[in-house]
Amino acid sequence: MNTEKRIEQCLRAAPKPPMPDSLRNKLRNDVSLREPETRESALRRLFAPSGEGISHWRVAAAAVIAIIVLLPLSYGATQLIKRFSTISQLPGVSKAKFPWGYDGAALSPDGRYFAGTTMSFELVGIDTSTGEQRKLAENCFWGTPVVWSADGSEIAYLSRRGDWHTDMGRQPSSLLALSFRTGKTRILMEDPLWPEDWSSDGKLILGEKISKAGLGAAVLVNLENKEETVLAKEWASARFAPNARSLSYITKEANRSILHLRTVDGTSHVQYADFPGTIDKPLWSPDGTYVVFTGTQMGIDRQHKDLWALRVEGDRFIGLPLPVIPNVEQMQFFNWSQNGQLAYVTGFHLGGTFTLPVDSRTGKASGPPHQLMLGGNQHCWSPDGKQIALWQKGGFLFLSAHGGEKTRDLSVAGMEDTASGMAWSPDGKLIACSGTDKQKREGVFLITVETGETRLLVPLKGWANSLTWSPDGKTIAYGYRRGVYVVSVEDGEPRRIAAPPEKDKEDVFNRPVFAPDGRSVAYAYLKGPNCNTILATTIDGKETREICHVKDTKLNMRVFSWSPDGRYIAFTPADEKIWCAPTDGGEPFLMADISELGETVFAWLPEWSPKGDAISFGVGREEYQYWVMENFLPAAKAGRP
Amino acid sequence: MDRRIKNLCKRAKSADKNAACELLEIYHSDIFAYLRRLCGNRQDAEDLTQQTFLKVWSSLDRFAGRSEFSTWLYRIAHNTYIDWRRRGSGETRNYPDPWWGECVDTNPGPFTEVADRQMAQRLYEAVDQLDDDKKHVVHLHYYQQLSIRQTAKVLNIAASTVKYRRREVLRILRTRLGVEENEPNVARTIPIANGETT
Repeated sequence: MNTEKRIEQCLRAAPKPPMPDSLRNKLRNDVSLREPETRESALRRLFAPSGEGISHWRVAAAAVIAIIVLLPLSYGATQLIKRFSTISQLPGVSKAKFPWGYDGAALSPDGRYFAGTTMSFELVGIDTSTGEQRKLAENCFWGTPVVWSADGSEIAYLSRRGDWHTDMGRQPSSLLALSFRTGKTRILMEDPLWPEDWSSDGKLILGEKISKAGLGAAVLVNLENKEETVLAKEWASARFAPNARSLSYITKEANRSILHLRTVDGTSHVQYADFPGTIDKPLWSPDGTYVVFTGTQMGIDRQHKDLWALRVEGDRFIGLPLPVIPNVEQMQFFNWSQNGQLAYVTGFHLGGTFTLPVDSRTGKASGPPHQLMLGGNQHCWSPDGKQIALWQKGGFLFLSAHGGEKTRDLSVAGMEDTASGMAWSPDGKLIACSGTDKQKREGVFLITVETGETRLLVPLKGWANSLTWSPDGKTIAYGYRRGVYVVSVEDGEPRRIAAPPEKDKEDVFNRPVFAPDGRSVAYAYLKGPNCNTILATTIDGKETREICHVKDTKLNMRVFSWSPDGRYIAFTPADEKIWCAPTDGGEPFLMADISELGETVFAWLPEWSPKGDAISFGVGREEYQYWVMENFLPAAKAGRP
Repeated sequence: MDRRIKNLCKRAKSADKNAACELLEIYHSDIFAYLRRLCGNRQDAEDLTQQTFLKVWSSLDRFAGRSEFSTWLYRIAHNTYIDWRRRGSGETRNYPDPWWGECVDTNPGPFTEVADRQMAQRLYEAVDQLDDDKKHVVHLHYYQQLSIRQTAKVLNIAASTVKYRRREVLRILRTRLGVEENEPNVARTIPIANGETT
């Protein structure tokens, strides 16, 4: 029985306070009931006011009134009912493994199809009336937005090359348009651009670009001459007005947001800057009379996130925003289709950190998985195997690897955020991780386990992946862009030891792990999103050998961990299974299947304990529903003008 | 609604005192328990229970039967408690309510193990520290064993909100209980493949 079930059982079994007998008597004495009134029916009173027979004149007059007055009123009532009755769940969409927390889905202009990128790197389209799902394209970035053309014939999406985990947004990729009818694609832009909106004439596109330095910028691109206009040097959620003459976007200053409205040609530009909080995801109503947005304000004790609407006339905002739907904390909005349906997802993102005991001789699980705690997926083992350090916003939480008891907290004030794949030094004094510090510097950092002090060891443009210490603690290996690097902890001078051939642009060497003897570094050889081979290169970069290969192409070793004795590779293909492959060429076998934890559960980031008697891994679990709502604005025409 | 309750309501609405007393017999201990746990002392719980049933009898003719009688009753009890709190009553109560400790010690019930009793005690204290919104969900859904739908109707919120709060409650309680409650020796039902090959 897990802890939550035990808590629930305990709560349900709570003892009941006994009621004093004296109260029972008091309550019985208090029972006083009113005598029921005898009423004449209202209709009878109306049609027979004298209390005798029904007046035919009154009946006829009532019929005339009904025809003249009530019929037109009933039309209005129908409209009113419609306004409140059109919130509906999209059937079958939850079965698609859409990632939660991103913008990667959109409703077609006619509301008939819902398209999005899945965690299997596929673009799928789902019929919103039947739930029927079909794969439209492969090899796209999951979690990146998709945009429908105004006539619904094409979908713009970002095709991917390389591994999302390696270096999101900086792998070679293109913005493609896929014909929904024929399935054929055409290139809209060679440069990677996260599409936000596509103008109704199909000539302009709004999106976010990531510079080589890793900074985002909102741009307006003319697809014919490739001319770019930078709207903001930050992510700005830009959208075209339905008439395509204007566009909106947001910028942030201090703790406030500024909502911009400008004409596409730049001749007019107004701002709304009075919202007392942050504005996100402004979307245009299909008739162009409102921009709705989620507004987040800090209340006395908690944050409030509501849906607001701001009226637009021509090139100006009119009046103040109106609150439309309160408390949308659990909702994330996608797009507002031309037929008036605002699509959104609501749900929960759960998960946790687990350990699995393993027989170090056979590499097989020797017991069931054990949940250490809810949440916290970025973790690493202490060198003695007794503790697990979990990164949580603002610092580390140290847990006993055996039972999950918290041993201590460590505040790391200098770090803003960290990437997955951190590593604890063999002497136990440092944790190496990749991330961003409070000064917005990115790279490889060393954090002192005792004090939480941070030191930037290798400045990088972006994050490294999967750091690993040499057994003597003098060298760190890490993955960066497409290659594998080693750096001496003393001098901080990085050196690349392996990278795929320049001509194989799809290939990436990823997630390095030091060999137990410290003389080489193993890494996943990614061909596109797939990996069937683990290679190892000596730290001088001179020799490379294959240490593991699986024939089954469905078994993707892209996220792997090498056992301390060098005999096994544990890996997760980002689904509910954890696999183990012997390095002597034996057949891979299943270590654990966690599918009973939930329908949408997946395991990832397995890490062998230093003694090889367990693996730790993160579990992601998402429960969500996709909905549309219509006619929710008080006075807006929700359909096309 | 249960046919018997429906019938009793109908009779009570037509001023049948026996039917009203029967309804009282069925529900008074639950309502008292609900209010006793909420307000933390016996005297106030008795007053509030009396007020609740007085309101029930005076407004019974307005009960249209669209919801279950018990839901309607709990809603009145809940509102009575809220009004009492708004008047500033109950602010000086001691947390945790000493009754709980005595009750757990003297009335083992399902808590046959010392560990279970301790956990129950700690849970009760942790529930007391929850904010009001979450606390009401625990009291109605777990202590009074109302369904999600009934709890939502009593609190006048969406069922999805109740589910969300319930999930939050479990998360908070789990955190407050600490990680030692992770029962390391209890087997899970997750299948392990031993030697399954591709």
